[in-house]
Amino acid sequence: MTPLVVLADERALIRAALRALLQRDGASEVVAECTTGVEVVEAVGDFEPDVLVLDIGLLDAALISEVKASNATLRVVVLDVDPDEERLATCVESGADGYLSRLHHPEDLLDAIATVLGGNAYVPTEMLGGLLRTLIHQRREEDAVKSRFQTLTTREVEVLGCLCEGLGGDDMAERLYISAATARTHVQNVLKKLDVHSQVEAAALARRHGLLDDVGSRP
Amino acid sequence: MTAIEHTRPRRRSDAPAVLSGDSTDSGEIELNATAYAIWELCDGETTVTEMVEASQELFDAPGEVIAADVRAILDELDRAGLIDWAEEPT
Repeated sequence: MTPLVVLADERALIRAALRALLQRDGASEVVAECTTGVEVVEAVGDFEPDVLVLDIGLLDAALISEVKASNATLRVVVLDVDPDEERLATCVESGADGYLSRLHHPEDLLDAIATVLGGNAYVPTEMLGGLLRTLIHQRREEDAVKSRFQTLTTREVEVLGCLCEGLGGDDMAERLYISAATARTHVQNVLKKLDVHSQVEAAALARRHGLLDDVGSRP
Repeated sequence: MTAIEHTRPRRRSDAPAVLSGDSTDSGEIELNATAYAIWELCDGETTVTEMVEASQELFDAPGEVIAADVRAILDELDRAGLIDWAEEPT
């Protein structure tokens, strides 16, 4: 069956070139062209494509998860300006299945589409080692943060929850039925144990790593 | 005795030159892209388990298949004299 493709790029010339490439010999059928994230969401809902080819200029953290939520089998290939390990890691983190840059050969895009439709990730071969290293470092960081979080007492976890809600010292003290001085001590302990330097940083860390998502299951 | 999953393979300093499969230069040993990526991870700190877990995020195959593939690549690298082990696997 011919795979259905949605193209997303602000530039008409690039879209036309991609369309010609992808439809050559009936390799795929381009069912929609989009120039904004909103159009992408609509097109994925309307046409139920197999693949979204997305220019990195239109990538935002929420877009891929939003379109994948509406079409679980959708595969996303991101086209970057030039190969960049950090952006590649961001794309993978955002849920992209394939990544290549405009410096790659046009045939590589066809390869990328075939690969992601086969259920695998497509990464330029020369970037594979770097990406694996990035994933390993992220996992190590995740493990280290979770391990530091495990050292918090139940009260300190409550304090961290208050920080995430943006509560100040007095509000926190009132919420937890403790004095403001005690609240301040707990906050200092939380910062020290999580190895962060500010309340904002602690809240950001908790959100980024989902530390408070499964507090109920904490030993 | 250490299970292979917990070992930390490392590149040998006296290993022959290694090229990725994409390279057009001549060299003594040419590896395919996946083997080259795994070889790059052999820094004496990264465990086999970490290599397998990271690979699982990229390839759609059962965990045991990916683990077997990574081990096979490491065996191949070992036989080619490209790596040794921080601790000998069992």
